[in-house]
Amino acid sequence: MKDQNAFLYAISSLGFLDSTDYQREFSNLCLDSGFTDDISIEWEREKFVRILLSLGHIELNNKKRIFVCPPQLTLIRKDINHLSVLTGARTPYLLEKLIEYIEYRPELLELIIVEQKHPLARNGAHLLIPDAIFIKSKNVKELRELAKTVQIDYQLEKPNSENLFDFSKSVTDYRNSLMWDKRTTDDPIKSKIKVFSTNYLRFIERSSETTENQQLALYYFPPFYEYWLWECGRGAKVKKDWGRYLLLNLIQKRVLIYNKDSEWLAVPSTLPLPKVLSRSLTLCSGLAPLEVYSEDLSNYGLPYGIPFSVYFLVTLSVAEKIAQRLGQELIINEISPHPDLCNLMI
Amino acid sequence: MSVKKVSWDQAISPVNVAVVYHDLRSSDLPTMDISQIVEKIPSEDAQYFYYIGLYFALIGDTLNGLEYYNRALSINPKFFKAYLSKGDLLLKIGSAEEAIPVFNQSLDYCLNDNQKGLVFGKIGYSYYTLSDYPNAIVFFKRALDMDTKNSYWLNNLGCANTQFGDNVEGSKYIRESFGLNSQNPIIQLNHTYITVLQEGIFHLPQLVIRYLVPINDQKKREKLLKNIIDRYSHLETKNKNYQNYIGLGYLLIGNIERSLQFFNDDGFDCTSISNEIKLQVLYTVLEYINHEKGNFTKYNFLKVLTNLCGSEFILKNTTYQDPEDQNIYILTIYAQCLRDPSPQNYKKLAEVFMTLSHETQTILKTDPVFKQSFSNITDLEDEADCELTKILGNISKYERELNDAHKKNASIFDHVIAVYENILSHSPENTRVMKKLADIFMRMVSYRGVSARTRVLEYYESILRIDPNDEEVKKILLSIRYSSSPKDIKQKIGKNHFKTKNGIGKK
Repeated sequence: MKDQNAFLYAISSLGFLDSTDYQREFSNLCLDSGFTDDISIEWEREKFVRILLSLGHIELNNKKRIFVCPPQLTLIRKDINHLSVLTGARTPYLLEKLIEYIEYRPELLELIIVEQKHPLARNGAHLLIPDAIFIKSKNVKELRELAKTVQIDYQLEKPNSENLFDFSKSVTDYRNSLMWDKRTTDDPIKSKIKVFSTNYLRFIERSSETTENQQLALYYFPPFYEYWLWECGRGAKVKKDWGRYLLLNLIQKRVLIYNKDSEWLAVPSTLPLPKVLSRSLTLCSGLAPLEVYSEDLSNYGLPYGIPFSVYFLVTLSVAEKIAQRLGQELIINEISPHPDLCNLMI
Repeated sequence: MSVKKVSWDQAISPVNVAVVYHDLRSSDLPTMDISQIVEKIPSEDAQYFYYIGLYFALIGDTLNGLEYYNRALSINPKFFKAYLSKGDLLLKIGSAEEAIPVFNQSLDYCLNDNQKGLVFGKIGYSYYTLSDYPNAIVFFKRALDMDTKNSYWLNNLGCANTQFGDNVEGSKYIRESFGLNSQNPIIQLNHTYITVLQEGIFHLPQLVIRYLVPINDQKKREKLLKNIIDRYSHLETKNKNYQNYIGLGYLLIGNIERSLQFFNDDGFDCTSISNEIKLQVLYTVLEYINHEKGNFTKYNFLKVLTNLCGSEFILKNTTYQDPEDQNIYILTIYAQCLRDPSPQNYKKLAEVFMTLSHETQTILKTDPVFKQSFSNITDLEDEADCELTKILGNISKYERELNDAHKKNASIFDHVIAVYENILSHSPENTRVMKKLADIFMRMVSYRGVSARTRVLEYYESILRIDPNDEEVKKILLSIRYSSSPKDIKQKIGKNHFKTKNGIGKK
């Protein structure tokens, strides 16, 4: 049995990790599985980094070098109790100090360790996502004292997911910031490798499907890859994450599913959220999103059998804000109960 | 307690996780412990009872599911979703009659046309499962009135019409539904089904190949095959090629006995059959043969299989690794012999025969097809020897001609060694085979050195243990022990020490 925190402990000691080292060590430190044949390692590797980014443990630079963030006590919720989560670097020593401090004040503070052993869908493997360390207290002063004593940074004035919203731009802001300086006549078709399929919600090989006015294409100009968004004969270089949502916004396609009663938001894993928004959503619960493979959602124009990242404890107002930022409209309360389909074969 | 540890599902609540899986229609719900949640239900929260009901329904606990839905409805009698889920659960356990009034009750609490459409659709579906197609058509039409472009209602209306006997109307709606939602696997299947119904009479092979093979679900396959057979039953006695395809259909659904009744010698026109399908057929047969271990009396369809797949294809796609699977290997060689009755193939079959257990050999010897194929089954061992002699002869040639062809030689030797070692594993006291093996290793001494020499010694010592009076072996053993180099050994023993015109080791 591997330690769920192995990767976080390792990178906390090293400070940073190069992408080649990460690729080499991924199976050792981040994956708990004897049979890796059925798993798309590349996909899981990318997913693991995305999850750790959204949990606020790491940051990436342009060369994809992974840096560990400084440890911080971050406020998640403020109701009767103040609930905070530990983000950033972590060592067994830091945990010992936290536990020691809290055990002396059992009536004021509570430490909750949530083991995030998410199953990878369709096989028995687990990603070794670090345990979520929550600290609960009736007043914020105690949390502040704790942070000072164990010498970590803190952000306890306002739930951090709200803070992050203020930093995030919207799809409209992003669209306005683009340089629409490319023309269809100059489209370097030979360099075009893939195009984004709005039917399958992923990049596919160039095909006849994408002759529409709006198109997101991946180009390869050795040694660089670039994403260009085309709209009515004009093109602009875009970032992959925003480009996808911009295109979905242009064709008015809804992809975000929200359940008001259980307060979760499901985002197709093939459409990862821009970093700040994903961090903001994750900090609603402090827990990594759960990956669930959907089955038949074709009635909502969504492809069959795609993975969703499900974020929990997302209030309706937050979900609406996220959707608004992404230029989306939530699929809400329509998804359940399901209609039945007659099958002539049975 | 100031420090506690919980699992991820308990932190989120198993009920919430269950709702996610329900809403995303995923069937991979992980195992979770719900006991703590059930204990902590707020007494007046209908929503909570509903979600727990949903959880039980998802894990297949119908009784608890219904109980919690009822509790939710007793707290909130206007709970639209709870009515629908309760009706769904009743439908799932086959109580459509009980589901209809529950759905009807929910009609009073619909908030919009979409919800009304959903309820009409569910009532229609309940009638459909009761085979009350006229009523099903009425309700599906009412659902369609609420949303004219709903692929689900169009599909359901098409199905109800088809089942009622109106194929034209049924096809129209299903095609329309497929046009709107071609990604849905059930709509795809229904579309296939109506296409099968409408295909011309001369397309039976294509129906089997194009439609039957790609379906993975066994039940659906059976249903479609039944339909095809019903439709083409009048051809059974007339067209032998079609009969073969029906045989293939039965083979694909695993009914080998029935498939045998259809297969005939006319052969397949199999130009349109892809390798994937051939493989599927091949493995179905192999699985059957392996299941019926040692029963070689039902091989009539092998001729058809060989015609369909071709012996080379069979050999290329089967492997012989586990001695327990020897039937598979025998089968492939056997099939090859049927396809191409050349002496070479028979020799290969003879060689494999040598590797079989005594029990299997006995069964084989009584098999009429084997008897027919091999006029004198007792010659099999000699056949194997001849083949090996030929191989060894070739090796000698290589040895003379190529000084650095050790690797190549070694691989040929390895094949021969594998055959003989297999024989030894079944008859561990077979001194004749041991002598052959010792002789082979002797030939390898020049480039494998000590390891080969050790093996030679081992085999000769084993022979002496079994037959201490074998003077010939004693002499050889002495000469090997006192020889100084592999070259000396070779010179002392001589290359053809055991070789005779009929094989090796027969003096």
